[in-house]
Amino acid sequence: MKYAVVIGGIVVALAAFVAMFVWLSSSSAPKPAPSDNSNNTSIYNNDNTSVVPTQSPTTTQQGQVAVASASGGSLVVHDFTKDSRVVVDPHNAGHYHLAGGAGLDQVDAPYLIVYVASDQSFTISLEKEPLSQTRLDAEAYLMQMLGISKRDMCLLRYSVLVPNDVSEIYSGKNLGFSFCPGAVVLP
Amino acid sequence: MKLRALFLFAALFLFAPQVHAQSATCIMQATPATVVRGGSFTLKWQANVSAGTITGVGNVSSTGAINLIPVNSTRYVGTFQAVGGTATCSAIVVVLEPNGTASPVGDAVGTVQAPGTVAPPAAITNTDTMAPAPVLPAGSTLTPNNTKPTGLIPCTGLNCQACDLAALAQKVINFLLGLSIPIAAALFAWAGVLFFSSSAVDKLDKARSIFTSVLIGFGIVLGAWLAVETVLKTVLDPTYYKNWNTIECVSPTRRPMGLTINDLLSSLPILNSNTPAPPISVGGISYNAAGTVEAGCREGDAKSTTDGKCYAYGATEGYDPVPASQLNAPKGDCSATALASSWGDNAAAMSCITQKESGCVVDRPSQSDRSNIDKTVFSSGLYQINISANYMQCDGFNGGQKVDCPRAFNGRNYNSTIADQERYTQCINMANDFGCATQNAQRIWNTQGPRAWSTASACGL
Repeated sequence: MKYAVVIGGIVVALAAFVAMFVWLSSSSAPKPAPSDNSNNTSIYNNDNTSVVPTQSPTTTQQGQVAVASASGGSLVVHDFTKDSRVVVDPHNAGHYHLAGGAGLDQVDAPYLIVYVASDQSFTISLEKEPLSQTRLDAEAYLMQMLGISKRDMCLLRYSVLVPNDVSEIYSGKNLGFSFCPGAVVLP
Repeated sequence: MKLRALFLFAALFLFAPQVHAQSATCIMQATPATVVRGGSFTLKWQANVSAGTITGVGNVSSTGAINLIPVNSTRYVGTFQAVGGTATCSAIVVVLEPNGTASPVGDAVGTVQAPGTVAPPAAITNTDTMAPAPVLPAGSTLTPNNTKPTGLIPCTGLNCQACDLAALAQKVINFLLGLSIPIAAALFAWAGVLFFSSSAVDKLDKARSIFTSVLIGFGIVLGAWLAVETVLKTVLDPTYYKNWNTIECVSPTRRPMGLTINDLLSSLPILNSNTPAPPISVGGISYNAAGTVEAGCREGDAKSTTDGKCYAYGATEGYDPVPASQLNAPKGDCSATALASSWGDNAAAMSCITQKESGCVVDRPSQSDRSNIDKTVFSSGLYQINISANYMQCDGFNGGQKVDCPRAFNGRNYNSTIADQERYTQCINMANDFGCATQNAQRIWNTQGPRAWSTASACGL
């Protein structure tokens, strides 16, 4: 009897683990590669056009997406749309809130980062002084979420802006990332 | 008892995880993408299958990196196969001559060369070939090469390192795991033979004992593996986690071998003055150093300091960089494209206003327009519409009927508090909806003019 209980317990535990393993294997099955993947000559698709794409990020392989770069072509980044910290805008299709939440949840956030799928751009709004530190924090956060280098960050389509009620001096200007060419130096 | 054991054993294999046929994908990168002749670069690749081949390198695992010194500009092509298909990916490294010209790009051929051999033209050469072959003891059968051993021993003697001890231990564990299956099967068979071949009580008891012991033992072996796999797969990021029962040691040859003392010194924080590398000259045109991000140029391309055009290395034709005004132009919801269809000739003006008002965040709650009493936000969205002072009306909300938003408040502006939470929430949602907010902003523009926004004057309006 004792042995039957022990054996039964082990079998049940094994069956549970196997079932969980099957479920995990199914849920993490890789997405199919896009048809043009075999024609890639490099990680960055340098086509010769600068037409603004109007589609959502292109899935390249599991955990990665391609977004437009500022000078044409595309960049491969982590699939941030699957990140648990990202909030899909409930009112505006194709808008992903990468930092700060959505709507009134953004009230006290030091910076807001929104991805707009229509032009595959990132909008970073600095909401707290000192702006230099807030910008550094936002840059670090975005770099970690996208999993790209500083160099690649400079190639994104992005704007770093400051609303007028945060700073009249810097509002309305694209400050750029601090480490990118042409960035506005902040005190 | 014997039927029960057989049934349980069969059930275990019935619930074994299904193998999903998957398509192969791969990605490859050469860093840096341009080297001066004799310099080295790192070729990195990542695929979602267990192995593949890369021209000029040979058979590779799913993920890896190798340090190479190319003879000429070379294109490396990786091929990775899975049940669901084949993926190819490639990377190009450009070799610059001492005079600055770039050698033409050729396809990599062959595999990484063993030390002492002569590399064919346009083939890649592993850094091992730069060092003379070591002298081996007489009678030794070991030869220094980069072929990966396939047996239990993960190295071939001269290329062994401490990591290989861990890899050896892992291989032994994997071997024993595999060995446990035929052993369990053999013991079950023996127990079955005992059970069927005798009616003596002690023999039957022995058979039962063997069944029980083997079942428990085999269950523990499988359970241990499954438990570790399940926990790690659940906890770890799938982007980085492949499997835990394989240890891959980085070959010593993958350590940077092509660096100089100057490279080391320039990487130290005290000695690194962060000054940009001096320009290089290619074909009589001066470029900024390779690896510099050039505003307006495609990734990897350089900007000529002679004519300001962007050039791919080795290219004789340049192209105009994307103008700064376009690079710095507002993106997303403040872009001219997003606003043009609604605002027409006023799109530029409204682009300026929205950048200043909301930082182009479509649902931004105002930092300043908040009640002095309870900090209730009364302006929100791309246009920062003040809902304590303006009604809202648009398609898609309240059946297109007007929503009297000031009635959501007791008081107005900084003296307001929420009187009707449901109405307040509806009005905030309308102000945060791009389409609805745009319709109402246009109405405000038409009735009150652009000066309804305090930032209009800063936009020249």
